[in-house]
Amino acid sequence: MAQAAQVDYYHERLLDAIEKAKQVLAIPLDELKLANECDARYIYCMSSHGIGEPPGQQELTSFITVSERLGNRLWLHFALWQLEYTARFRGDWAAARQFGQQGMAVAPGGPTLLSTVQQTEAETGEFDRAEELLQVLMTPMVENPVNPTFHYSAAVMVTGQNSWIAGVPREPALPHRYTDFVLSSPFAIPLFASVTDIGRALDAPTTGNLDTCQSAYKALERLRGQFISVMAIDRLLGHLPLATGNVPRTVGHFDDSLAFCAKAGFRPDAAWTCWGLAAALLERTGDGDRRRAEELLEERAPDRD
Amino acid sequence: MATDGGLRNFWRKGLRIATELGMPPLQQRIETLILGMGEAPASAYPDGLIQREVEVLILVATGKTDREIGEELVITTRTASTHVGNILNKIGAANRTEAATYAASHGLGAGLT
Repeated sequence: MAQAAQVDYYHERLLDAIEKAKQVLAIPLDELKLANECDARYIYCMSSHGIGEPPGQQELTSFITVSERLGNRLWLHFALWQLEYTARFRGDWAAARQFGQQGMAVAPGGPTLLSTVQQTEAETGEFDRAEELLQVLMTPMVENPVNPTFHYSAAVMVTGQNSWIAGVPREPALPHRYTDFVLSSPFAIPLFASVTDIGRALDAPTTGNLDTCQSAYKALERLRGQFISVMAIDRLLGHLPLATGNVPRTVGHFDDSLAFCAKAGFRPDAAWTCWGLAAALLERTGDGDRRRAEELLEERAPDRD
Repeated sequence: MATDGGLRNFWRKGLRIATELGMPPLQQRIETLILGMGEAPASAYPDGLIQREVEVLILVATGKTDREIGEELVITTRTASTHVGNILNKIGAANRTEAATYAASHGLGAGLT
C-alpha cells in the first residue's frame, strides 16, 4: 500500500496518494515496518503540501522520530526536507536554512533537497549561493549522464527559478539539453516531467520565448490547483498567457493562486502573486483598463494576505 | 492617480509581505512597478533601504567586517560586500564610519529588525 501511494504521488494523483498513505499509517504500529511508515509519511507530507494543506507539526515530528528509529540516513534526509519545505513556504528563511543544512549534512548531494534550498537563497537575493548549490546539483549529471533522474528535472527547474526571481536570465543558462532529455524520454516519471516543464515555464517569460510559454502552459494546465516543487501552479500559469497578451486568463489564474496560498499559508507565493496580478492589470495602460483594474483590486484586496 | 487607492493597497500588501519576510528581489520588482506608475515606493526604511540592507547596516555600525557580517547572516562575503556598497551609495556615506553615524541618527540599531 505504501508503494502504491508512491506510485500515485509520482503520477500526480495526490488525493489518491494521501488516502493510501493514511491507510498505511492507520495500521497498528507493532505490525508496521518502520520503512513502510517512513514511505507513507513522506508521501503523505509531500502530497499534503501539493494540495495546499501542509502537514502539521505533529506529523512532521513523527516523520523525524520514525526515521531516526529506523536509523536510515536517506529517510532522515527526507524528513528534514519536509521541515525545510514547510518553513520555506511560510517564508521562514532562517528555519528553512537550518533544516536544509541539517538535511544536506545527513545526505550531501541529495537532489531533492538541493533543488529546493536554492529557492531560499534566491528569494533572499543570495544568487551567488544559489548558483553554487546549483553547481553541486549538476556535478553528478556531468559525470554520469544516464537516465532522466530527478537531477535533470531539478537543474532545469532551479535554473528557470533563479532567472525568474532575479527578473533577468542568470548563469548558467537554462540547460536545454536536459529539458529535451527528460521530456523526450519514454522513461521519465510524470512528476519529474512536470518539474522540468515548470523550469522551462519559468524561463520562457524572462527570455521572451512565446512558443515555450504556450507549450508549457498546455503541459501544466492539468495541474492547476496544486503546488509542485517550488510554487503554486496557478501562479505560474498566470504568467504564461500574460506573455501572449491574454490578460483575462492571467487574472483568473492569479485569483486561484491567491485563494490557494491563503488557504495554505504560503505567504511568499501570495506576495509574488500580488505582484503578478498588479503587473498583469497594468499591462494595458488605457484608462478603461486602469479603472477595471482598480475595481477588481478594490473587491479583492480586503480578504487577501 | 487619486482613484487608484485599491491598486496601491494591493501593491502595498505584496510589498509588506516581501519586506516582512526579507525578499529583496521581489521588493525590487514591486518597487519598480510602483515607480513605473509614477509613485514613490512606500519604503519602511529611509533612503530606499530594504530590510536586508538595514540588517547589514546594523552590523556595519557595530564594527563587523564583511566576512563577519556574512557569517552572521549566513551569506557569502561577496554578497555582504555588495550589500555594504549598495548601502553606502543609498545613504551617501563615504565609509563605514559615516554609515555607523547614519544608523545611529536614524534609530537603526540592534533589535530593530
